[in-house]
Amino acid sequence: MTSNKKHNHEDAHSHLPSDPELRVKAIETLLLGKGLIDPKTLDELIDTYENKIGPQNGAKVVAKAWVDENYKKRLLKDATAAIRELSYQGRQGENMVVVENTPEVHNIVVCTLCSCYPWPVLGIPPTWYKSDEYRSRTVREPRKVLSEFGVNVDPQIKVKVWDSTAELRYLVLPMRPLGTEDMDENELAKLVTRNSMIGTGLPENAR
Amino acid sequence: MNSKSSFNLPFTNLVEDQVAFQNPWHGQIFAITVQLSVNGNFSWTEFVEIFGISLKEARLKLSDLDGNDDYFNCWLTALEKIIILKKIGDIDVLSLLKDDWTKAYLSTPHGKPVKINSRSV
Repeated sequence: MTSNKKHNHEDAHSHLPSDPELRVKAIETLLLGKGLIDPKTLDELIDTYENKIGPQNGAKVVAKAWVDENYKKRLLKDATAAIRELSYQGRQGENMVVVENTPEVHNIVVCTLCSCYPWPVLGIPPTWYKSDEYRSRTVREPRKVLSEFGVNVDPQIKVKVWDSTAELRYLVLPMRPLGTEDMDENELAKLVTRNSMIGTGLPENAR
Repeated sequence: MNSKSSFNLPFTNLVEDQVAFQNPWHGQIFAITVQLSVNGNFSWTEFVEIFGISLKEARLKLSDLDGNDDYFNCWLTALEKIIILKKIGDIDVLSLLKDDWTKAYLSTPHGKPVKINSRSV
């Protein structure tokens, strides 16, 4: 006698999500039941951080500082207020500090505790920023990490590592590339990369 | 000083680097945590402290975390811990709800919406 247990797609059960996905569903069910979360707000939050907030915001801050000396002074003195002038504010941007790259100093930002990051100007951190390797090695051997990102800092230039916390978030103000004297703010903003505002990169060169 | 590429780190994946959340559940727990914090259920600093411990504990077990699923697993553990700590829910209810969802997926025919019966939470 042959078995009737032949696999039939129509009879198959739904695909079982992974363990973390099931735990998230449990949390969602609990919180929805208690009225502590709103699905629409959750969707809006995800959409905002996936599509609307990102390094393009920080790039505008940097470009403005490059063309407006007074703005740059305000930015270095009170970054939170200066960034708010461009309407970038909100969660994890409440206490911002901007550190300026100069011919003598190159700055790099890390969070050794977890992944504190200035969301309003840079969005969600990239995977490597959250990795143990970046978080531990940046403090231990910043020049080597920088070289692996393709940033070779001359030995006479000082490298400063800034450790972000839940209360304090850093943004690097990179040096304006040479040959950009004729560019306006919008053109300059296109040269500012996310990594140049973390310190693991430099702005694009003017073409 | 010169820069050849922004993506030279051996542990950097160029494709993943461009996406905010690699898996939908990463975005979901991020949004849930933010919403709970914004609504005053806990401060972000409180969450970060627990999250930091969760990362440290995982590192002892798993060695280096990759910043992707490993990282969000720790986030999820921290979220569960703070939910319990703040008495928003307890571990038994979370466990029962997870079982409910598991049974529902295993008993719902492919293509049909998966639902669970309401349970007192």
